[in-house]
Amino acid sequence: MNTNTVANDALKKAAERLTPEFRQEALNAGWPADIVYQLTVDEVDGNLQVSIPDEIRSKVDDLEYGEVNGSSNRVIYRFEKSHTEGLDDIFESAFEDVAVNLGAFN
Amino acid sequence: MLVSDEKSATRPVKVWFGYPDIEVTTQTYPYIIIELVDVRAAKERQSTGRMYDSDNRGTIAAVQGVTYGYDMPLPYDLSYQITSYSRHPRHDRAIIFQMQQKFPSQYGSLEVPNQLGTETAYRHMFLDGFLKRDMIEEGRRLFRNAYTVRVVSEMTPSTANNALSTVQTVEINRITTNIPTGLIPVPHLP
Repeated sequence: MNTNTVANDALKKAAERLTPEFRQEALNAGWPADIVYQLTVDEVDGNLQVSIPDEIRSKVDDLEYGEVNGSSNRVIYRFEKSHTEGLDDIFESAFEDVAVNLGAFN
Repeated sequence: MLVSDEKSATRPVKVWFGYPDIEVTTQTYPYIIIELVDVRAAKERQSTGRMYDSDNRGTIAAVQGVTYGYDMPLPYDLSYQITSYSRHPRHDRAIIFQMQQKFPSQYGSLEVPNQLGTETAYRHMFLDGFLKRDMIEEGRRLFRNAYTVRVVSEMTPSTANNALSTVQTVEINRITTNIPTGLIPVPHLP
């Protein structure tokens, strides 16, 4: 087991946990449910981000950035900036696993 | 911010904080809207301790022998969306050029002079995102650019405490006195 694998696994776990949290925040912000439930938080190239299917990207951009003469509603931006709490614990736990597997505590 | 075209060499770009009435904006392309989209406690920049200086962080003129002490400020990130609108492609490119000039390598600064005019702080700014959102509106081109800008800020704990202070008692004068000349007191109900 190498550290990259463990880190990616930890990120995937975090993504699974954050997807329902993100959806709840989007719903609370007034985003329509049919759009919200197509959005997921995923691990992409070692980072966590909200994934948007291509077919609804335009609608999501309108919600996020605002339509013409309409205010923005930056749910994705706020979420990606703020919802990293708890990741430290996940990473710490993951790296402890690596350390144990490598015999650091023997 | 100025743009130019065949009719005007120096056309000002109007700026609003928040969206103005539609009638106003439709008459005055190009324009820019600035919206505050997030206020976030930036815990990753938090440090603790107590600081001392002679001008209370630039807010009071220094007096010999007087020292001010205060806790380390709480860092905050203020995020703004800056959206530009224009009908003319030349205006659009001019706005993009000037915005990029403000954020070389995604990084800029915001000049913040103090109230006394004795000191100036330059707050760090970060260009967190840029999105081109051109569209056709009523058969006409509308060039839109959305910039996401983060400005670092801070607030002292004492400011926060004062902002959250709870009213303990409310004192009301039931009998009105010292009525200014020309005003008539409201009669008391039994």
